Amino acid sequence: MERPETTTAQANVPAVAIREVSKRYAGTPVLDGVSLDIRAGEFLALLGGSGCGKTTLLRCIAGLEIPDLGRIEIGGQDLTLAPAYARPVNMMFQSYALFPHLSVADNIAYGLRAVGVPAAQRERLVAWALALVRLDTLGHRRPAHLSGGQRQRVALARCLVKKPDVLLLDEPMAALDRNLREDMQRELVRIQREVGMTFVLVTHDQDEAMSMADRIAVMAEGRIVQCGAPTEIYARPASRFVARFLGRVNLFDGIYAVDAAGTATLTMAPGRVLQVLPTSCIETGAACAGAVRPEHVTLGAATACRGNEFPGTVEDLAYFGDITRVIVRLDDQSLVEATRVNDTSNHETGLARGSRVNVAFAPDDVVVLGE
Amino acid sequence: MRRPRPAYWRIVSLYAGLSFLYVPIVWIVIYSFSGATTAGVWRGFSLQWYWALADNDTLRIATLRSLLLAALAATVATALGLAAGHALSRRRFRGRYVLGGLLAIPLFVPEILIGFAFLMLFVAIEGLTGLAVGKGLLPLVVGHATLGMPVVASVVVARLAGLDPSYEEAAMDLGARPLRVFLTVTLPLMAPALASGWLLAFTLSFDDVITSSFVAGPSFATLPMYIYSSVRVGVSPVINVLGTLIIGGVALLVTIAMLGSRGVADPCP
Repeated sequence: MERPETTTAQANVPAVAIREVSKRYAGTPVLDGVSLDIRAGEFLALLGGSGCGKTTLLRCIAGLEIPDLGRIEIGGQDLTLAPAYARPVNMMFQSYALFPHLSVADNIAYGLRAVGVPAAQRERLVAWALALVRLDTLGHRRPAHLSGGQRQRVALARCLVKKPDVLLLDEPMAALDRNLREDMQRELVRIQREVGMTFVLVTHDQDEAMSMADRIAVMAEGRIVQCGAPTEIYARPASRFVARFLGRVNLFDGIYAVDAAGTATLTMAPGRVLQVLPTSCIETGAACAGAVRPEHVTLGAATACRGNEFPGTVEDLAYFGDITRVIVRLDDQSLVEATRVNDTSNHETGLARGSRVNVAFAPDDVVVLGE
Repeated sequence: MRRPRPAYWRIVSLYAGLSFLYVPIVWIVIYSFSGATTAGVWRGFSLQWYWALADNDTLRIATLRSLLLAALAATVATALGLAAGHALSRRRFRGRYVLGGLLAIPLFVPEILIGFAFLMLFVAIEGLTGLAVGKGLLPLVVGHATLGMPVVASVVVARLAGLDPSYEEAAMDLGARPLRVFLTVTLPLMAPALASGWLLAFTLSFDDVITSSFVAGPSFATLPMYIYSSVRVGVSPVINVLGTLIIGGVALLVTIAMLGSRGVADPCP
């Protein structure tokens, strides 16, 4: 069977095109009209909490679930109903699902045997895959005699050896401890660059998604709520949910207004007004929220230069080594979080519980979010 | 610090339990070496009954017949039980629970009814078609496989319930069609369950008297039928010898199985 090569020559055809895909389990919608283009060669993360439908979407691409509605095209071909064994994609399972009765080499060769790759070529490919994941010497071992990190590499090699158009990874780091996880994240990015395949990663870990992916699709309640580059999603979240889900954020609820001079404000309470940048997305009089990242909040003596300034009292300090998180209770009793980078030699913030401080941030650091 | 007292009563109760199990068996083994002409009487050490067994063609044929029958019935039961158990736990279809229940019912139906039902069935088939299905090995294999199949199916269902479906999904995802997935992944992972299911079915068949009495003709006696009928006319010490040999064989197999499984990691940690 001829399979279209998804190379840069065909970059205009998405590696995977998901069109209005819906899926219900026992009447409960798990996917609710999801549409998404996955570009050839990119590293895309599907990010969301448990039960948001991210794994179901991945399984629909793999062919392990069939959507109730909608279409899935892989390399320009409609493969919505194709069985899993007939798709040019491979999936790495959260549990790795290494066959316990086969050696590492036989595990990796399994997918080649299944499609009748001749023995000589099979051996060459297995050796290539083992080298790619740096396990050259362990081919004869059984999975039971490998460490967690080694098992993960075998699972990866077993998929890579098939040279799929798209590699699907279901929470690949979930079973690893934290130090190993960061090593493997870098390793996975290295391998993705080396082989140039399209990777789709499912994760609930925002740090993992942000550090590894070219693009992130944030999912909630069976829908994609925002899709874009990590910096874009972090700096310009489209909703309160996304702002809260990626990173930490201060949210100020208020009514948006633009005056005759073109100055935009967010009125939280009579006399408590936030200066913001004008936005075309929200109409005057609409309820909205101003989102401010803690690293944009400065703490210090009263000045009048930053636009938004509120007096308050330090309620709590949390020291993290490289940074310190400062929680300030403003005089109207709301809480604001600020991040201080500990770049001085003694890590002294000069703040203590109960210190009076002024909380300040610039109008262009406020992202105005509609409801 | 006080050392915990060894739990003597536990050790004593273990020995008591083991005696309960083994005294009758040891009895048989000891009396197989008796020189008396009546089973259960001791008159000097002798191997005469071992020679007598070697000369007893009826008994030897019945033993071989029972072994062959048990092996065939266990194999048929394992094949059917595997198919049923796999379908019940890996496929979603209408009536799955009802069929699962139907599979369990024969386990609880008195065997005498099953035996009688088979007798009626074979008579009816013979009457309708004229085929002598009720003679020879065939009715015994069918009857005994029926006893073993629900046991195998329940072992298979239990094993598959504990088997992560992602093994089979991964195989499918790697390009294997369903039959290949079944043969290269499901079956090897099921092997321990199938082996124990086969052995259970073998045992059920090997010592069955009731079903056999209904479906086997008098000219086709199995070993348990022979023993049972010979007890009624007077027990020959040859039975002790035969019992000793069977027990020895079983002990050998169990020892081999235990040595073989030592040091082998559980395939599903």
